[in-house]
Amino acid sequence: MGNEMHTAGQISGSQMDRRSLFRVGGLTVTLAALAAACSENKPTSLGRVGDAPTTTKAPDAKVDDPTLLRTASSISYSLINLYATLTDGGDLVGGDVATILKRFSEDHATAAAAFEKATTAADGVAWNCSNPRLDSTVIEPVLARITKGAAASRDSKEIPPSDDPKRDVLHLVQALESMSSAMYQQMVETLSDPKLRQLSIVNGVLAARRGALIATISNPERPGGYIAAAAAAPEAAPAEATTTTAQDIAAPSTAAGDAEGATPATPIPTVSAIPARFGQLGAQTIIVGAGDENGVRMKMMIETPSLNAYVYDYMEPTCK
Amino acid sequence: MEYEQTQQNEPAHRLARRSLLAAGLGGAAVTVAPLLQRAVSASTPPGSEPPASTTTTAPKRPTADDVVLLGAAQSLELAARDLYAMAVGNKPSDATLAAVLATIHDDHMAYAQELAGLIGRDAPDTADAALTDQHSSAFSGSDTKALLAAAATLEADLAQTHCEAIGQLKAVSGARVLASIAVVEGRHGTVLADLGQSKDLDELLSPAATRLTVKG
Repeated sequence: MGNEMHTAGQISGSQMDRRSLFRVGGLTVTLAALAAACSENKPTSLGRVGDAPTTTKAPDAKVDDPTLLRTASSISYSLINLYATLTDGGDLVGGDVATILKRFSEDHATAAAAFEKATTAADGVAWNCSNPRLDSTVIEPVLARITKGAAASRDSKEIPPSDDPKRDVLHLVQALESMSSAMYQQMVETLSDPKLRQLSIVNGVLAARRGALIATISNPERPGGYIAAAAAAPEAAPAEATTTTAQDIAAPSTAAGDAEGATPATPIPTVSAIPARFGQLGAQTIIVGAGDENGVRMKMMIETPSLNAYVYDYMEPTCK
Repeated sequence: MEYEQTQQNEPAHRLARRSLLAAGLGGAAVTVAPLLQRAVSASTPPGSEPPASTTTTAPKRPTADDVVLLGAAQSLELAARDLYAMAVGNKPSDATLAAVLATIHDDHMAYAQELAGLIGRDAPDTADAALTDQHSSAFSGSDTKALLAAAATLEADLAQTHCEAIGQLKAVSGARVLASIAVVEGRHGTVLADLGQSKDLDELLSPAATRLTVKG
């Protein structure tokens, strides 16, 4: 009995200690939560390691009607500048095409003026310069590849200028006009005012016609130059496959371009005036220039202007 | 004796547990309160920041007025389909002309179907008789030059009509469809003018166009 009493007393003392521990622990958690809730825990900047330069916060970019309208006028100015380059001297286009490109320039000047006026009416600042993104990522590199080729580098040999500059220029113009048509078509969905949508699609139709006209010149095949379905259709049944032997496989290739030991260059796809049943918004792909040492020509995806090509309100004109 | 002592200790234990629970709940309340406050403040524009610019969201589905415009567009597309069916039915000897006419016929049929899918049972599903009558002689005749001229005019008028409708449509869905149709009809017009051997840049690029109206 006395033994039992002693044991019970020990247990009681032990329970009291544990309760104290719980009490202290609960109070600690409560106070910690209170302190955490009352403190300002938003970091003022991202954690940085080492001696890194300070960063500048990107300005807020609003995609609103003035931004879209400024982008539209910028694309027209980019194409006006391109056509001036193509038609002012040089031998990049023939006489008939030069006349057509001058007409294109006039149409783009009319479009740019309309979009600048609309930008001002929408409480924006009109943009009367070219599109910096289109110039730097598409027009300048493609023109350089056509007219100058590419200099040798540590990893590749020099690439000569285009083997057919007039062909490449027509493909570039066709792609850019189709791209601008797609941009106007897309803006019908993004502009808020129906009247601005109308202005956009009217210019989209005109750009589509310009692209179609260049396609008919670029691809003289008929009806392939008119309709894409005909261009894609096989002209004749494929020849029967010949029996191949191990000896044949080992024989040197007789493919075009190999006769003189040169690698055949990337084939250039043909274009059609009516490429699809409905207006497309996807990228335009062009292949231009001479092939490199492996025969690979420059392949460029010309995206329909989007977030990275818009002329936002914080951007300042860089042209004179 | 021991039993009694244990009995006396019971209320003290309960009191301590209650205190602990109360302290825990209090701590939880203190912890959760700022979170709730943050959630509420996130849904309320803070007064210290500049007010967000108001935006007007266009309706996604065609409105009643839109349905009238889109129905008219479908009638015009059906009339264009019928006109090209006449021309294709004449079996042009020129393979290129035949291929182009057949392609454009199929395009207009697809446009009418697309518009019918957009407006559903409100679609008229009948060709505009006035437009058919206006061009039927050129499309059913044997004069290729007259056919190409009439077809180029028809395409320009259709594109112009759709562009003007886009300026009136409230819902984006209808405007999106008409826009994708109008740009290709512009291309149709250039191809037809080129097929007609036109070298006039106005005819090829920006021909005169009239907005078509649906009667009835």
